[in-house]
Amino acid sequence: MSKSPVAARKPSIKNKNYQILCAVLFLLPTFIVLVSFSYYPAASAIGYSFTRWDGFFDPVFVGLENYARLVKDPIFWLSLRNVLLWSVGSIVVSLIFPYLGAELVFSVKGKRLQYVYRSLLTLPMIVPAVVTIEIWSFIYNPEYGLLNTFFRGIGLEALVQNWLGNSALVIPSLIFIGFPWISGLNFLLFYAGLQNIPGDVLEYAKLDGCGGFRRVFAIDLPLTVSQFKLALILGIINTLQNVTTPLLLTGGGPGYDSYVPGLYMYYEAFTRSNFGYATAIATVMFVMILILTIISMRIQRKDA
Amino acid sequence: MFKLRKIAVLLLSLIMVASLFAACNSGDSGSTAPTTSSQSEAAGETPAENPSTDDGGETGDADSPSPAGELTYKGDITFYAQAYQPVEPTEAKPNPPTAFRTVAEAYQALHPDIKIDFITSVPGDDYNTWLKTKLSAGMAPDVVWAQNSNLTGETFPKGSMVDLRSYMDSRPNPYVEGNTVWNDLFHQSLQDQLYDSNGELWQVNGDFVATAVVYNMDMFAEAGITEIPENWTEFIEVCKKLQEKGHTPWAFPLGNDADSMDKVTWLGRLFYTNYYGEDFDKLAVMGSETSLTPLEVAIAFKNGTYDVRDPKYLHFWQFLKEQTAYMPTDFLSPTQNGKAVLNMFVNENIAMYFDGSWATNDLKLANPSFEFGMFPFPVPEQSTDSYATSVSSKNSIGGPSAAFQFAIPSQMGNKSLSDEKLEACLDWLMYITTPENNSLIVNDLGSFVPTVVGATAQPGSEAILESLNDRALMLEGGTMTLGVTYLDAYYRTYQEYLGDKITLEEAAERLAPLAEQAADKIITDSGVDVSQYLNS
Repeated sequence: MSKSPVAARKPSIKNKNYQILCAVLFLLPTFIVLVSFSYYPAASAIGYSFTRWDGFFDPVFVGLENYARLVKDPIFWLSLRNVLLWSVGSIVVSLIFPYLGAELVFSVKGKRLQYVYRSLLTLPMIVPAVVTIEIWSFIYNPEYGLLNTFFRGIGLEALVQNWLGNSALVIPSLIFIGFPWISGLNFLLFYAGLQNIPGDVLEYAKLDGCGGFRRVFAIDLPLTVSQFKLALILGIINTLQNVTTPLLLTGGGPGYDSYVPGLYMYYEAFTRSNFGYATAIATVMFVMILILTIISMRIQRKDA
Repeated sequence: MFKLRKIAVLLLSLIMVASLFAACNSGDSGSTAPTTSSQSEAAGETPAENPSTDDGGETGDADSPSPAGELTYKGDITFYAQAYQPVEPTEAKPNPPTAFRTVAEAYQALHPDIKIDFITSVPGDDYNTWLKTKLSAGMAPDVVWAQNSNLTGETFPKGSMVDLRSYMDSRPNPYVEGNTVWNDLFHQSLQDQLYDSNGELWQVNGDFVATAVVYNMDMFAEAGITEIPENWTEFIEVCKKLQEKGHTPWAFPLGNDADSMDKVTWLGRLFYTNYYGEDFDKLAVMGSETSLTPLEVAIAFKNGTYDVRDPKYLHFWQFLKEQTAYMPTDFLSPTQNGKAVLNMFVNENIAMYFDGSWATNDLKLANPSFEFGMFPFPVPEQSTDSYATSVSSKNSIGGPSAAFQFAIPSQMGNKSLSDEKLEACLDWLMYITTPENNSLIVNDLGSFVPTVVGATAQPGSEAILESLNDRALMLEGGTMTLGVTYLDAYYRTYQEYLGDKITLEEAAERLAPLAEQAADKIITDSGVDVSQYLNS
């Protein structure tokens, strides 16, 4: 029996150590940056949440004082309620519409045409979020905004609204941002999920007369459940962390109607110099996101 | 496998929180980035003459100030001059201010070892966050602009700026002949509005901003309005006449931005000064003469002289709610800020709006197709307002809250600040607060009135300068002095009241404990034993 060429090239222990060293060295810069700018600030934020700190003088340890204040703080609970409403609305649209988009593109006959549509639907991702928010600020302007001008133009004056100034409409208006909500990461996720469905499954389904909507419900949806779960958890995290949209678009107003915990944290830290309290808010959000992530992973494991 | 997942979950969550912080830090820092101008046009006046440096003396420290002497500091003084920043002309700003450059060059000629370095790339919208970050890192510029209410309030920690009071009270300004005490060069009615709880003074202030109603003269003429309204009854009459002609009478910025919040505090002064002016002796428990220190405001809330639950305190909200009948239907919107309202006025969608003296330049730039004018906002009158008193609040509609507000970050906020540099910074501040230089700088911009004693105002603004000698009362009901937390709650609650979301009583119930907390904080932070001033 002759020695196989693979066995002949089996790396020596010295060679193996060299490879590990190389891997570690290549990964090291990333980890240094990650630890410096991600783990350390996050971990130190938890520490600061037990202090009274103005961001200038040394922090003073106050134990659980910030958390005790948070529990009794009506503004925090109000902001939490707002963000939950916003999350529910945002997640529903950010799951349904990208999925519909992915199904539509997936149904297009011809790979080249699919590629064109896919590119067109992912192109808006390169527009910076701030630009999008500014555009929507113009769209919602009650006087000269695109939306009200459109309604006035087609004679539907009754639909003209003070979109961001009406207490009842401000959260729905925030949810509506990004209409038709098709482009972006979720679209790519679903599209990739649909592409992963084995071709023979789709072939058999076709032979069995399972096409159109029936195929979507009987085959596509069950086989893209993991994409839905991922999109769901990412959606929750994104909305809970979204500070930029309310900061630039509504300032949390009118009143407290679009006030969210992230915004509250920002104002406490950078407007009111209460870094200790701000980090307590951040830590509570961290715990909430952690719990949601654990729940999501448990559900996924059960399904597996 | 399970452990690995747990670790992954933990790491993932940590990254999420970290990224949230990263998002917060990135903020919105749209840079207005003024560029350094090399222009040195003397705008009709010349900077102050040579200094008299005969006083001698050591370079000072905050504890034992000494008279200014020969400067030993050699190097740059980094300086942010806010609206007075000398910049290159642009299409949007064809005639920018240049006088500060002229003054700086004259100063540099006197002190060849010192260079005034006007810093660039300062964020316009989020300046306070930028400065706070710089202060925290010990990298603040040597001399900065800062709103006094942010220095006495919560925005900037006490001690982040040098207390200038001891220097101003004990030194002469050597650039002003005959001056023995620097502080004497400032109108005391304005200085009273600047002192902090323990008498600290965090800035030198050299301009005055006035607020008024800007109106479209053509629309007034069309509606047959020949005289400007002087009281609320006349103002409502004007609104009705404009409405009859199909015009929306006026708008007030009610957006969710700092500018709109400021406007409400401006308007509040008109009412609080009038409503509480007769109680001034009860309010000024520590002897203030024309306005209250933050500590006196806090004591007023503790004593119940200011009481949020007292119907008088929020009465003017009701008054303004009635006014919304004369405003656009969408008067309440987070995007309805000062700029939006200005646009509405320029586009002839409204006949009047509330703005500051800085609006003149904005309006000139916008170049509207109609003639516009300004008149003072009507003051409360006893015939129509049950809480109105005979106290005049006409002069309280302006104040020292404009752009000539300069402070020196302390050594903690600016690690490069040595005793020598501090002396140089103080000297620079003295140089710019001579009547001549103050007039030159402020009049060059044209938005405000110079306030150093002996300064000359532009034609049309002399009356404002003269009114500063009246030592008129100014009360703001704690909206500014109780700090940004209270102001934010006050403003948002006000919005909810205007939007019919809550009643005046509910608003009072919400704000009362917040006022109490803010008052307690001010008293605690001051370290002053106020027991003798509190009602038993």
